[in-house]
Amino acid sequence: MKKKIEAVKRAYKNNQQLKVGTVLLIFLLLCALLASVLAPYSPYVLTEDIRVGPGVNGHLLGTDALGHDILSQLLFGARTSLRIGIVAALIAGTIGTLIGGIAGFFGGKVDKFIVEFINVFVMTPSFFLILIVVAMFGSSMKYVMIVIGLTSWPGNARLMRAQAISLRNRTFVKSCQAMGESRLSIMFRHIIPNGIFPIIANTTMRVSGAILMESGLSFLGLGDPNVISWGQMISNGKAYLTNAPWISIVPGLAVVLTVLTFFLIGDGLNRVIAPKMNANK
Amino acid sequence: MRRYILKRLLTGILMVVISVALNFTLIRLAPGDPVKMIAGLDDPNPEQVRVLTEKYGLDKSIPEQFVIYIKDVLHGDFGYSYVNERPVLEVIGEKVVPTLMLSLTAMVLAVVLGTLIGVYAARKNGGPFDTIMCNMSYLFDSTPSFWLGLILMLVFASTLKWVPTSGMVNLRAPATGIGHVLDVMHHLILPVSTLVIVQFPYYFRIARSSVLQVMSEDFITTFRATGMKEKRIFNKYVMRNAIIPTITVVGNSLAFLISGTVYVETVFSWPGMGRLLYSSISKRDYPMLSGIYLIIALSVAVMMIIVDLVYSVIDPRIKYDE
Repeated sequence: MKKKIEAVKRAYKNNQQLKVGTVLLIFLLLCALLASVLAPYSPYVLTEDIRVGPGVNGHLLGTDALGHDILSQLLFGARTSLRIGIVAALIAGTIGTLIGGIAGFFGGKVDKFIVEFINVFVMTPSFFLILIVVAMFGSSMKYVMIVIGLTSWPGNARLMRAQAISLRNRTFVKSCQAMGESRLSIMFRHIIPNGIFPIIANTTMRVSGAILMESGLSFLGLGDPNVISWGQMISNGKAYLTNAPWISIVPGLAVVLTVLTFFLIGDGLNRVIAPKMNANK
Repeated sequence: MRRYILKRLLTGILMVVISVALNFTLIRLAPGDPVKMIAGLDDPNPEQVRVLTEKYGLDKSIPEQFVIYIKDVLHGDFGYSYVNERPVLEVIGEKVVPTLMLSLTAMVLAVVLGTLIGVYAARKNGGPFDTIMCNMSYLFDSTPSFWLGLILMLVFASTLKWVPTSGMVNLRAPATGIGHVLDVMHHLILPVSTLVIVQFPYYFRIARSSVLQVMSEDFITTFRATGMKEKRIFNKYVMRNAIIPTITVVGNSLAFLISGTVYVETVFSWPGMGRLLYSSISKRDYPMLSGIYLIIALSVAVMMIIVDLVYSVIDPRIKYDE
């Protein structure tokens, strides 16, 4: 693990994506954390300026049809997007690591069963499932996060399984077994910590997927109506596309930027793990 | 080979049954009362409730309803949509064609463009074209399709007026013949472009990285050492090996053709499966939802099996008996 962190540090220096990604991530995190300080208005307040363009009356990015200040909404929307994206990806990462770790390390019948289960799970149309669950069981942020997390773990599980299989025959694992360490303890203390790195990279990538999914759900009107989200803002601006295009354009750009950030970091991390792919990708 | 096909078939059937059962249960566990929806009242009178509940078999337990449903499906009866007052299969049949028209066109274009550009970029690895395309693929990969659709609509339909904003046909255009075809094609341009733009990075990246990977293999170096012409190596040996991942991915996307266009259909008011799905959810149309889900699950299973078989023919390294 330590070695790998060292490797990341070294690779970081000549990894353009990772650099750009981290800078963007810090920027986004600052926006989200300091939203209440940076925002010129409360995101819920209805100002007197209805649908004014960017720069008018001190509204840097204009206002929407009800008079909400778009910049303020954008900053608070960052909180929603980041929270949903990160939590959903973490759920998927944890489930994937556990299931994949068990399959790969225990092997045999357990492995066969889990692999078959993953194959079936991958084939079920998960997008449809997410739509139904969110539409029918209510669309609080909690549900959205959990559902996205519960449907996007198989990739992680496959990665972890491959890692566990390659680790399980290493000498250090064998010697732990010889010393009588229990299988569960070996899995949690040796297999998972040593094999987690690709899952970290993949989980970072998954954050982008979750953010896109959340903005899509909000766009369809299936997001949490009680929080401010970029998808919802885009959807609000749809009706005013021709005479107030900024209402939709601005939050869309924010989605692109955020998704791109996690995409760059994830891909950058991937290149660090597989330097051979450096030339290839 | 026979055992392999059989095994794939079994997995496919298992997957359909599991996903349909899961979906069936979820839909029925959800809050919201379909009887109230049909009656159109918040508190319909008890007589009405009783009649409607009995008429649609909602008085039976969920497992019972499931068994009845599976029996009916095996007889080709996918249920009766109580919102549309028509058989589910009829409504789906109507909507599948526009969706396929949209998603197939977009997929073919995205695959062809993505693969060609990817292969070309890989040959010019590291050059300016390669760099630009790679960055573009990142950017478009991060773009939500519904937003891109809106932007394209704003630019090309509302401002430049080159193409219609939404819908599938212009009511003033001829309803039959070549005029109709041209009209539909005109309406297709924007939604298809949106889908192509968001889908092509995927095929681009796969084509590019697999070409690069094959080119770095030892046997290619050997060919070079023997003095074989670069063009011949590329066309005959690199392409053949590099195209395999693309085929798998295309197969996987084929499986999701009818369910993958919800956003774009919503933005462009395209009368397809995506919008049907969306409106069925908001109207609690249970039979319709189960029907759509079943069709999607079936198409996914069938496509997966076909892809596996095609794959095993193309790539002889795959073992049939495992």
